[in-house]
Amino acid sequence: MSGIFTIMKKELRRFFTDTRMLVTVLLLPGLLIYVMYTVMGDAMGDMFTVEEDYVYRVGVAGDSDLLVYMNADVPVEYLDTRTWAYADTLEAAHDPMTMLKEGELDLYVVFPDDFSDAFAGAVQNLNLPPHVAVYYNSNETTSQGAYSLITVLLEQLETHFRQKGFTVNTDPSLVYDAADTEDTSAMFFSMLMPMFLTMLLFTGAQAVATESIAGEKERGTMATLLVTPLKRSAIAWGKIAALTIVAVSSGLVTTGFVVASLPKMMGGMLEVETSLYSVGDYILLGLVLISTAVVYVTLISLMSAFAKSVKEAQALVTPMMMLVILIGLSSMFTQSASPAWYWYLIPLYNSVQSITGIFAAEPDSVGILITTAVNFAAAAAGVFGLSRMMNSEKVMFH
Amino acid sequence: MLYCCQYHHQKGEKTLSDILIVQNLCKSFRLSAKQQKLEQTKTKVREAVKNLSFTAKEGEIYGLLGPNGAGKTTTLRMIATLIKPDAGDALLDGASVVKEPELVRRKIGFLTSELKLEEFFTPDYLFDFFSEVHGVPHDVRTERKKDLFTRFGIDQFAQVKASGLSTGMKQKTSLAISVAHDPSVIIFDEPTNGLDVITARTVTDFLQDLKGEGKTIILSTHIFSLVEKLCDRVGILIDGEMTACGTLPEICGDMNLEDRFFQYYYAAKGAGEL
Repeated sequence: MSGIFTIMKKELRRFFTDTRMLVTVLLLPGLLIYVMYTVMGDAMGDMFTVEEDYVYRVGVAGDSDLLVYMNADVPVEYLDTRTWAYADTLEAAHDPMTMLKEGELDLYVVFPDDFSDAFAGAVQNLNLPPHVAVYYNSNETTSQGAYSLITVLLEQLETHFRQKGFTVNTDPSLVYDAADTEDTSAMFFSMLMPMFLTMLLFTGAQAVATESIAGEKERGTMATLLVTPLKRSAIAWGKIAALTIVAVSSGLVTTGFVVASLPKMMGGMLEVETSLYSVGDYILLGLVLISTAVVYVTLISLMSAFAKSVKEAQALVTPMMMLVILIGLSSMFTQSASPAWYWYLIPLYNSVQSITGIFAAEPDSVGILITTAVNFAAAAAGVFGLSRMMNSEKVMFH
Repeated sequence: MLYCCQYHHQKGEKTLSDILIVQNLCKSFRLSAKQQKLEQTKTKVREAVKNLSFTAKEGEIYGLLGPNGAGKTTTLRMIATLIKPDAGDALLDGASVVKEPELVRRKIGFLTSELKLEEFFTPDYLFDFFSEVHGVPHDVRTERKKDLFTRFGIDQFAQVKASGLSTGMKQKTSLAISVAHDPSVIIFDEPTNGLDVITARTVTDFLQDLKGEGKTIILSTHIFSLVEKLCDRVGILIDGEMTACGTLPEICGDMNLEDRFFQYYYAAKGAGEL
């Protein structure tokens, strides 16, 4: 047992006192994700947001009587922060499509000349409804904004004149959507977090495990260790335990950055509630994460023991990374947060299911316990295999 | 030819002064296609060590002399339990390298150019780490570190990471680490290889001091002067076989070691191959 701790201490010292490794494995991935999501979010926000005081340039052609309704009679209170300016009917010499393309105009609306009469006739089923053409440029945010606003306005205008027998969801004092912020957050987290967590755990494990096993082989320091009286199993357990601590630390720090950057990723459009999880949920999550990390570390260590160099180990581990991403993505397509118990017997898949359940605020305690037990058993089998490999001169000294 | 090192004892039995008894060790390696091409051979297996037997007595320096590829390193690696023999065994202070490898590792210090220091750590930490691995008590460790570090001048660079050390500094550190647990048998594979004359001298002086302390040293080399200077007995290995073994006067007679060695070498290889 003391041998395990000696190896663990060495491995942890190797990692936690190496500034370069700390930055690259612990901080950099999360920081990059944070910066990336923030930049992406800001860019997305800029892309879809029009400045508050922007004056839309809307060209209207045809029946000008309609302007009266739009300015005065149509209820458009929600537009009160924006100033509308209606351009005069464009001169024939101007080409509206070119102007839209070049950003000189945000919208061009063409009403038939006899729009008011044709509309009244259509309401009484005397003639076909008149056609209103709304030209815009979907590549321009302001044009897209003007298009959205004017089409809503026109629909309201149409409703107003038609005087429907009933209305749908028009009482602003009532809440029609049963989903609250917590539900939305739970759904959002349960879809994304399993993939993020498993992937980031794997990335952290990959960075340190390949270095610790294949790196030591490559540099000849593994042989130095193997000639000591330490049992091979003590070396294997010591390394796996230390690497798991590092992988979990890396995974958690990176996940913290991911959680902090999620609202930014959506350009501030998403309202997330992070306080909907209890201490118990976090304990269960911790169990799942540790047991998952130990499986990853063991698998990567086994691959690394086969490799002659870190480079070769990373190449060997890449297909496993693909598999982890694929399994992580399964949370996005799973309908039920609590599958049948036997699904929890499958290592790696069980982790994704457990994490999904926790983030959906429906943790399956039995499933999580099975997951933890199965993962630790799988890791123990892996460590046994690693010890055997360390005993094999063909593997260690080829 | 001298065959004085052939093992004459029953298995498990050793004379009082024999601390290392090597019994009919054999080791073969499978050659890859690349190696076969390189060595221009169609043979898929190379016998690196063939039925090798010798003994080393307590407190002596025993040298394995041979050209590159003779099987010296393979022999030492089998004794150090880094690799397993295909057949035969070696008893080190009564412990079998095949059946009790961990016990053997407790009794030996092993130094080879293949064993490297972790570049990230300082000599100070590495000494402590390997002492802890060998179960050296803290107070003993501190005292021993002080002695060895002063002796090799390591205290001047004890807090410098191994990545920043010269080859000589690394070798001195490796030497100190290999004897951190005060082993009774020390195995050195080409101990002065690649070292400058001053560091090489430090190493040879240290080996003599270890002998003075009653330690048994097994070393491999292809440097005749090193054998002549240090070794009490020597075994000449050619193509995995012990060609001759004995004290220097027994082996050399009225010739110098180099001439005698080549006599054995030509005889083993056959004039046609030379």
